[in-house]
Amino acid sequence: MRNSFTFCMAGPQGSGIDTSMRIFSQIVGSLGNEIFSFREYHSNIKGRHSYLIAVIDENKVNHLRFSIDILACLEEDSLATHLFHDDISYDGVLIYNKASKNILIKNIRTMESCLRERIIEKYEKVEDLFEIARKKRVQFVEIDFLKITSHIAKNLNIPLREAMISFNIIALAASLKYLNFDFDSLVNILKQRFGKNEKVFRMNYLAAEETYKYIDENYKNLERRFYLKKVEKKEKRILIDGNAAVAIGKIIGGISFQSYYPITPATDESVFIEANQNLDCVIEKDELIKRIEKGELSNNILNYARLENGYYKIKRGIVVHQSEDEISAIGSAIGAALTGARAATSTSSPGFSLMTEFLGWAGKNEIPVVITHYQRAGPSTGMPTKTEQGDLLFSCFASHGTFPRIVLASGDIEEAFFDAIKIFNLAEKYQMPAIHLLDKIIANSMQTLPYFDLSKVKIERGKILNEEDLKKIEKFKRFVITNDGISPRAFFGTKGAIHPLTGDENDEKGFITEDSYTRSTIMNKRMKKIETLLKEVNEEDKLKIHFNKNAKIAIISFGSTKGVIIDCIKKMNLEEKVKFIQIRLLQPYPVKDVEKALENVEMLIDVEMNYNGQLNLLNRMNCLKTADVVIYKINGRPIFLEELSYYLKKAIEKDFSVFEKDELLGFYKAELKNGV
Amino acid sequence: MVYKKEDYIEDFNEGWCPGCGNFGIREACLRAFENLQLDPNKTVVVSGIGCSGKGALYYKVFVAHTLHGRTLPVAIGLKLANPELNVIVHSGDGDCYGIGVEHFVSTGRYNPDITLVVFDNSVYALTKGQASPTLKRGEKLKSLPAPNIKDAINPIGIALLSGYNYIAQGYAFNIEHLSNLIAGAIKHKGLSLVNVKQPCITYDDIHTKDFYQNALFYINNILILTKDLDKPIKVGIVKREFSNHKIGELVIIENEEQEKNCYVMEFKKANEAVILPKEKAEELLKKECARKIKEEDFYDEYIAFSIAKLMLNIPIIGKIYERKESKTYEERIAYNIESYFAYPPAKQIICDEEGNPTTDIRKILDSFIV
Repeated sequence: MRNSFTFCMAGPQGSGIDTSMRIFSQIVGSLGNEIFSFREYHSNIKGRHSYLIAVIDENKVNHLRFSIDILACLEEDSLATHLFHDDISYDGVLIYNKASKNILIKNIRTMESCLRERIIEKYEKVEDLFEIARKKRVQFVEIDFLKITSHIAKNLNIPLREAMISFNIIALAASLKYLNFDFDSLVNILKQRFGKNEKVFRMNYLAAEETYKYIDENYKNLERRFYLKKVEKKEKRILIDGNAAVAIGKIIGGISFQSYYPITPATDESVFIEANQNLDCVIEKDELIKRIEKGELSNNILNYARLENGYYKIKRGIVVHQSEDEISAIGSAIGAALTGARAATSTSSPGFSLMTEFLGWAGKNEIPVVITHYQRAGPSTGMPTKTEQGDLLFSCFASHGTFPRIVLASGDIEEAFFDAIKIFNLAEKYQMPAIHLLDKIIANSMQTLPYFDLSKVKIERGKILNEEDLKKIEKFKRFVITNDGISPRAFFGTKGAIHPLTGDENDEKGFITEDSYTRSTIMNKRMKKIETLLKEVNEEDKLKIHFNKNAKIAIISFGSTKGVIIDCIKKMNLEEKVKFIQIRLLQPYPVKDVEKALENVEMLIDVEMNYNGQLNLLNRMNCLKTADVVIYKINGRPIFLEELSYYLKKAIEKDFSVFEKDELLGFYKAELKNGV
Repeated sequence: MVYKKEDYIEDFNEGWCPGCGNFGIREACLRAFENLQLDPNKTVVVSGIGCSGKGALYYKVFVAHTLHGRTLPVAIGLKLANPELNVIVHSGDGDCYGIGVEHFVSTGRYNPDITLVVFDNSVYALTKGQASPTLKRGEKLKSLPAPNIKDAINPIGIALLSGYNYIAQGYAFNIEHLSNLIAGAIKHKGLSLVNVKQPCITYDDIHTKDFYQNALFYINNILILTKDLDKPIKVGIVKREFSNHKIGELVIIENEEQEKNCYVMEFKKANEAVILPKEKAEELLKKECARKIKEEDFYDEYIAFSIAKLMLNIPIIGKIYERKESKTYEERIAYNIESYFAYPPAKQIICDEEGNPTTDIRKILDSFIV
């Protein structure tokens, strides 16, 4: 019996498997286990095959695996799809709906036709696919979902169709029963979750009870290959997804204006912020009174404040503006940033494409607007619900002309939380638009993590002039030439700060100019900030070197591939032999730091999730160093541990027989193709 | 302190053609600012691209000269983050009704307290006179290689349908009148539009100063039909000079020649706004078939629509519509965020002097504890 395994629940979109998986993860996490789970779905509201996969272990998990140890399927589409892709493990467990077995593949309407045709070539009905699992000695746990729902329908006197909503709970209960999780604890959890709605609770309670009974009756001596272990954990832990972590990061980071246009997989973040838009704040009494006396704040604020031990507790509200398109989203965030609000917009690839003209305006006008960019598979609409890191170069170079920008990529959910704060600090200190580069994996994965260490959160706002500072200046020049390129900023609405901003080139005061001398001076001033930024930013915000710093073999990557690379190196015991250089700051590119990290490296392996190895190209351009091997994936699914370890091993052994040579750039490359 | 017009003027040369209608619009704005005593430190002019946009830098207030068509998004962000600001947008007909029309329509739904002034000269002047969305079909300006084959947009009608709740049209060279319209728009709580008709003296040889002198029609000369007419009245506005009739002149249509050379409108229904040559107007008034437009008519959507319909062909100037009770976007936000006006985004204290955050997120984060 193993307590470390991969669990997958699959079913039609909209059938509640997300809820079931949250409950499952909650249970597994509360027992002290670590979990990393991921949601795979279609651009569809109801019906299409979707699934959630989770890796469970005693120790921290950062990766996903292709092979599933326990697969629970609600209906025929998911059952056939997973069996056909052969992603169930040797000695795995298959929990499935009895009614699925006899369904003809050609009748599975929800399945994509190209997949259906591939299956029909070899199999006629769903049960025929079972031979794939049998060869792998898979244990079959057949559940009669219809019998259970009929019972519920009769008991609650509702139509069968309505009772069938509980399929997700049946699959959940069957999985938990298999893992020998006790029924009373499950009921408690269902009560917590659904207790407010008696009817829903009742239905789910019956579904769980009948499923437990069904297994007891039909599988008297059930062989259990996996179990849930209780692990002692002292620290406070959370189970959180990337969208929420970024949202909470922005909130503590002081965001007060967020704009967005709905797009997968970014929207959940904005919705989360809106759902939590009224926040408790704690401000020192004297500080608040001082601001009121100076006239910066109106006296009315005291109506929303409560004095407690020398501190005011105040409610502050975040404005969340759902705009008519992404152009307007970034435009309004820029407007808000001009007033001094910390402002951001959140989007995904096609939305970012629309934002590029404004990106240039913000860059030219030195406006600290934050763009949270969750990449998804392109080009064009691409695969809206699938992942990719295909916008690295686009994020680095989007918009016409030359201007400084920040592109910071987080490697995992915890980094994404802290980076959501950091990106505001960088944007404001260096007065440039800042792109927080994420992707669908970070957006839609959930992980158990230690409770975020909030004492590490620091806010830096850079050089800002207030009314009093401005009184000391004869004429405020928004773009005054300075040694470090940073001109002190003053907000729209601050007395004495009147100045214009324009998309045209400007002089120090901000006025339009085409004067050759001024153009050159101002452009150089703006670009100077890049040097300043690279001089000042912490090394670990530029790049992180994991494992042995002196290793001669280096893996280079960025963003969400971090987890699987780290777990892969550990699993292969390569901690001494290999170092992993995780580039975090992609713009401005930390050339010197990367060059230093690459010194004495004899083999460079690039791992990323786009067709052309964009990080490799960026690195080649900046550091004149090309990877020896590029391992990449473009099918929209995350990189799995098994496939990465296979190719890493081959690369390290210098067995290039499994690679293809890129005739143009000279490196060996391999495309990873696993995934359902 | 009392602000004088000069206090709103910056030392900046916008490079407009001498005699351009823009000068009139700017003068009207300056007078409105002075009249309302706007605090320059709390005032922002947001502008787009084109002759209208560049001129914004002449104002000594905060100025954001933004992208082509994207004025309103920036204006919304400014206003929502700091509702204390007076936000005035300067846009052109190409900027606002062409490239930026999605924002023009959508902003109506939001209803922020913003004033939109559109410099409407029917051409893309800065690129040397191409047809803009407000140029009528069949018109051939000297800068066009062939007559325009597209229909004109009706900005007033769209504004009405989109939710703008103060709508007016002015004329660039009737500065006093325009200035009052703009002041009214700024004072109005909610989204307001002042569309300003202006001749482009360089590229437009049709809508010239002379044209407007003939064609301009003041709103208070509009009649409202009080009952259905037995026989519809056909009125034309002369589009091509013919037998003694000048462009822009109003005629009662009685023959084919008139019909051919005019934009034709037909009136018959009660409650419709009517525009008539003087003699015909007096005749209807005498017969009590019509009455003069009144102040309260400007609050009537139906009448505003019928005026908007007339405006496709006739440059009517004046206030056309006002809705008194309409919740602004800011007020709607305050439904959800009680402290919004007292503690708006721009004013929030997000950290102490050491950079420690003031926002307490423990309650939110605790909900993720396992």
